[in-house]
Amino acid sequence: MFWRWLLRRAAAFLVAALATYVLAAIAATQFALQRIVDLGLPVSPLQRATTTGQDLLGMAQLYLPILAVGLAVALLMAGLLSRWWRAGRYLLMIAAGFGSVLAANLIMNWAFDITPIAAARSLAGLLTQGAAGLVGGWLFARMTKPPAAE
Amino acid sequence: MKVLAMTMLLVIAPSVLAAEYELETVAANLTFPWSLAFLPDGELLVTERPGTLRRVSVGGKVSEPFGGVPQVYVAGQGGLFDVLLDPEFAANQRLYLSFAGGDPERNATTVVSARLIGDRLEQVETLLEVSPVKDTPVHYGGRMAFLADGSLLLTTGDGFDYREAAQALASELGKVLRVNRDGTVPSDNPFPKAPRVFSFGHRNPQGLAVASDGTVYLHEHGPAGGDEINILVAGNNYGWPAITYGLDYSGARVSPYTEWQGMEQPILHWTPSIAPSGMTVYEADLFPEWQGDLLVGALKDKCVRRIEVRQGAVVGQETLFRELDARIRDVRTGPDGAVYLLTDEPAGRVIRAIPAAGRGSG
Repeated sequence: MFWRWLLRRAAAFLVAALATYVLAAIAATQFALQRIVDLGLPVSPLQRATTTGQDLLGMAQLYLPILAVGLAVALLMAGLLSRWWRAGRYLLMIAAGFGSVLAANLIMNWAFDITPIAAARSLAGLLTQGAAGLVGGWLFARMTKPPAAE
Repeated sequence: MKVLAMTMLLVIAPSVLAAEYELETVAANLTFPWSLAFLPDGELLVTERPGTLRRVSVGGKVSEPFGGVPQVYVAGQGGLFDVLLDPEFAANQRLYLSFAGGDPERNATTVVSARLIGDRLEQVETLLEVSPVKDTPVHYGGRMAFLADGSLLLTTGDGFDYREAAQALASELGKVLRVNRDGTVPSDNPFPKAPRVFSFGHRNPQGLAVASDGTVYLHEHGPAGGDEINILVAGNNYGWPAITYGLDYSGARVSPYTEWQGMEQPILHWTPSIAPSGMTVYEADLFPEWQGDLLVGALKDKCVRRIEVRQGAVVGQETLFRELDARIRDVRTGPDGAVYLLTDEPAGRVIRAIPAAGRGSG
């Protein structure tokens, strides 16, 4: 029973972390490409698709583990809090996802004195990164919904 | 057999090359030395990034820090950078310092001129402060060189978070600036609406050298890959960040483009990065086989790259001084024809490379 419970959460976390990363990386690429367009260079749909694919692979080495660790800590805390506030479970996990990505970016910015994820240089870019975490948190909440609440 | 002979040749080649020069430690225990200049009496001036300027005597004795050096902003890559003697130093004792000025919220690459009186700077005047100020402690550029007409070039960085500013003439980030020695603007600078800008589209240029034929060489750090050597021409756009061979540190593409019309291609680029720092065009006599070559220091690659350039194209490259196993911050040709190196360490050294004793040539 315990192993089934654990596997379900592990699978849900894997999906949530991957979704967060994929959405965050896709968003990061679009923000970076918009800057290139703003400089006067056109970006074709093919270039956009190719660059997005390259970034999904290229950013996986650093950004994926950072987001995954942040998400794991945040979801663990949200899970504990939801024991006391069952009705707010979804809200807590969505907030955990959003907050974890925001926190990961802000901590990196603070630690390196620069903005390593270029998209996060603007507030809109930073919030879009957070939105990727929001989706991840929602997915985790949905996939681990307790049977009693179904 | 032929393969064995070739293998043996490759194995012994480094020691043959290493035998052609000797490395001498001129001075030690300098705190992150950044740049050096050769005084007419044979002594050296050395800047240390934490904000001190010192004299190294002919015998290698390091002086106390000079008085009168402006307050510098020391953080990240910021601090005291280049020191350059006025072309008429023997007559006017003037020198130029570049450094990060300001504070965490408002800092900028700054150039002052001053008179060197003994071990003190007097009559310190601000020549140039890069505009706009920025709030990141990285990517300052800070290398200086004189053109043959006596005007002063200064490299500036993009501040990292402001990379698109390198393409905006309204900003002095990511540029090479050109001013007269009194800070006024030369009348023949290329952009009337950006009076101090000489060239643009740079990321973080850390090497600048003018050859005797007037060719200006510049190198700049790419992000992850895409370090470049460029031949600098007034008015040219060197492309950053619209075109680049490097990736962002996150692993993401900075741009889908490596070339675009109206943007200059480097004569050489390095991927992975070597983190080039300091450069000299070797035109002295001690190493005749290096005549006209670029010697480029490397921080990350811990060596000096000798670049053979013929008619504006790179035709060869060799790695030198690897045995130092040290980050190389600056490379200069001394008045004696020796090659001088600064190592980027808490107890940094001034190293002199001279031909090996008993060597046939030089």
